[in-house]
Amino acid sequence: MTNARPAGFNELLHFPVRLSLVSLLAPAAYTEFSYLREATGLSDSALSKQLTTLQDAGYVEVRRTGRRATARLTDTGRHALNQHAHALRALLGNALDPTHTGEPTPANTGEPG
Amino acid sequence: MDATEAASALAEIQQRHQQTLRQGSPRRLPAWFTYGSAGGLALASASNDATGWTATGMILTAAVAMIALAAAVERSTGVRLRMRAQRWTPVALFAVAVITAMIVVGTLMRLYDVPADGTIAGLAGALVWIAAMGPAQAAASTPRNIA
Repeated sequence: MTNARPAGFNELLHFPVRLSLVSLLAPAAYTEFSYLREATGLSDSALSKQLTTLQDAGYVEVRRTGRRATARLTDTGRHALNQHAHALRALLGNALDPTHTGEPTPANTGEPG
Repeated sequence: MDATEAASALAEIQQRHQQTLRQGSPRRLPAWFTYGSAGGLALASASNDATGWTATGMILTAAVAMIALAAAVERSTGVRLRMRAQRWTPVALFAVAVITAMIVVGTLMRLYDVPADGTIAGLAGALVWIAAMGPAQAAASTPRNIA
C-alpha cells in the first residue's frame, strides 16, 4: 500500500462520479444529457453540478439546443483521462512489483536467484 | 490510494467505456430503421428508371429519408460514437455485399433488356441490406477497447 500519486494522476477525475462521466463520454463524439443521467443514476441537478465542474476544468463541453443538451469530452479531457488511466496502471504495476513494496528479493538481499 | 482502489478505478473506466459502446452501437438496430433504409436504397436505385424531376425527386427523397432515419436512431440511443470507436470492417463488407448485389442484378437485367432494371436491382440490394444488416451490426458492435 502506498499514498504516492504517480505522474498524471488526476484528483479531479478520480472522484467516482466524475470518473464515470468522463469514461462514459470517452468513446463518444457526444452523448445526450439523458443518457448520462440514466447511466449514472444521478438527478438532473447533481449531473449538472458534476458536468459544470468538468466544464470549468476544460474537460467537458456542454451544448444546449432548445430542450436538448449534449456533452462531449474535449481533447484536454481525453488527454487527462488517458494520463489518469496510465497513472492508475503505473500504481498497480508498482503494487505488483516487489521492489516497491519492500519485500526481500534476490536483488536486494544478495541471495542467488 | 492503494492498488485495490486503482484496480477498481480502472475497472470502472473500462466498464463505462463498454457501456457507451453498447449504447451507441446496439447489437440489434430497430426494425423501422432496417426496413426504412432498405426502402430508401430501393427508391434511390429505382430513380434510374425515371427521368427528369421525377428521378431527382426520388433521389432526394431517398437521401432525406436515410439521413432522417440515421438521425432518429441516434436520438433513440442518445449517443454518437467516435469514428475510431467503431469497427468499420463489417460495415465495409456490408456495403460491398449490397453494392455487388445491385451491380450483378442490374447488369443481368440490362443484358436481357428487362424493363425497370434499376428498380429490380434496387430491390435486390434492399433484400441483401435487410438480410445482412443484422449480422453486420452484430459484428460491428463487438466491444472494442479504445482506451
